[in-house]
Amino acid sequence: MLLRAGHAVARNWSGTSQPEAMKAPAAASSLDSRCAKFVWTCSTPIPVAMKLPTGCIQNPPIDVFSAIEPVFRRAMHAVITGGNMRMMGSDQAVAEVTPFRAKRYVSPTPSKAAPDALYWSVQMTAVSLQRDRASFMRIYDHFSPRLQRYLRNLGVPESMADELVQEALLTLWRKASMFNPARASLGTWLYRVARNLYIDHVRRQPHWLPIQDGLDRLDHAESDRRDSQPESSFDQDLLRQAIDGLPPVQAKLVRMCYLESKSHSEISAELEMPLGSVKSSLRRAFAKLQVSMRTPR
Amino acid sequence: MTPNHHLDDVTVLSYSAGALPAALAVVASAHLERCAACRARLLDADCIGGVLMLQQRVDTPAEDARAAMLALLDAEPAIEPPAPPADIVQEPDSDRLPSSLHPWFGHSLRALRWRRVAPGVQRILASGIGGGDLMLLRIAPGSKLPLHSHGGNELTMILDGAYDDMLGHFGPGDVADLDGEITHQPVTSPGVPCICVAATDAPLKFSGWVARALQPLLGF
Repeated sequence: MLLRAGHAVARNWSGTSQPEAMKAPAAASSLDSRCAKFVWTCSTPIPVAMKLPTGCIQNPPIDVFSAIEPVFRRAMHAVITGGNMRMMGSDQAVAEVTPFRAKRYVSPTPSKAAPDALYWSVQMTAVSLQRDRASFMRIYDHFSPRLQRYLRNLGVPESMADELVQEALLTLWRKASMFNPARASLGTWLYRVARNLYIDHVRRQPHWLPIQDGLDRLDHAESDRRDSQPESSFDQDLLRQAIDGLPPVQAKLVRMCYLESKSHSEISAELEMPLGSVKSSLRRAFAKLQVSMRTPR
Repeated sequence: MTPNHHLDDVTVLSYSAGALPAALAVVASAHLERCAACRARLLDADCIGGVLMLQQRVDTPAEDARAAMLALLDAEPAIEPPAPPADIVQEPDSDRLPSSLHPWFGHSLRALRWRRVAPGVQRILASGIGGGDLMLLRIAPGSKLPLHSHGGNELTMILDGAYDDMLGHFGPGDVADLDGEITHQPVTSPGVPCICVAATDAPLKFSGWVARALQPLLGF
């Protein structure tokens, strides 16, 4: 059976008014639709033929997305890795699909669902290949306030934090082609960018940025051949749960380390805790969090 | 050559958090350049940082901030600039220092200008780094250093030659990640001098009175 599909229902992930979001490329819009979990009335075949399990279309209503998700993920992975460009950014592809019509609301939860790594990968692909400003602004709307809060927590004055956030996002715009979703999520990538800018501008270590650029290029060159755990293969929800499940002392130490950028000695002095205890607690916390990252989906 | 001794997990965590004192970060960077295993652990640590950053409660960006961002995009060149050439070489060159050491000691191991500080011990001290002390040490083959522990943290990476202590054999690329709980007495291997880069965030603590008496002169 041939899957029929078309333009997605325009959907705003952050729940805010975002005019730019309405100008999404076809592939991004199609992806937007997958968390909306509608049963759609379909009219026109999409260019990529995908087989569905028996009964998907014949016996509605069902959750179409759940049924096609594995196939859809593989198709989108091919798009991201360059194996199939037909769905991404092609005017021809846009012309071949027609709008969905929502028929019945199925799940009460997706409106609260956060966009996942795959969603951001698609946005980055659009930025990298098409210089797509709408995708860029979706990234901006989601990440810039979080980058700002992160920098403010580190004690960066507000005006400088604003400048560093803009610089981080400009870095994303300029180096979008360096982003490899098989190695790191966009959140991790932007965290690195913001941390590096903080160390360069605030801690005034002028040699830090070129060194990190060098390490990034080394990772970029190795990513195809290295037999290691790519971040995209683990479920970030498990890591979030593992962080939330840390014992209070370990959780506090981890947050002081990351969100206040305090050295072990500073943490030890502030909490009046022996340096060895600070380190052993952080070691245990890191080990637990690594286990969550090694848990298969 | 693949290193056998690596950064402690908590050093990786602190590096990822941007919390490692500057001198220690230079040595950690030098090891990361040579060690894919530690870079993989750093990626794990960065994932944690990314998730923590995204967990924060935030407001929607202001419209004027969005407009300012779009104006910056307007000012960007239409074509993405090509990536600059990599300055990290894939093939090891025994004379080339790790990239993170270049600002402090130059590029070439053979071009270093050593200063003798004790019999069999030469040193080059990096100046102006802030956040701890950073130095290169060149210790004659077959030398036994005084027994000592550390007032704080110490990171030492071997660049050439080797030494042995209670923790094992340390060769090129290996890093000794030590703190105040470790007391050791390195003995350099015979044959070639042991050249290493060391960073500390507190002075060493020597056990013997001779070494303690000489410590101010040696500057360790």
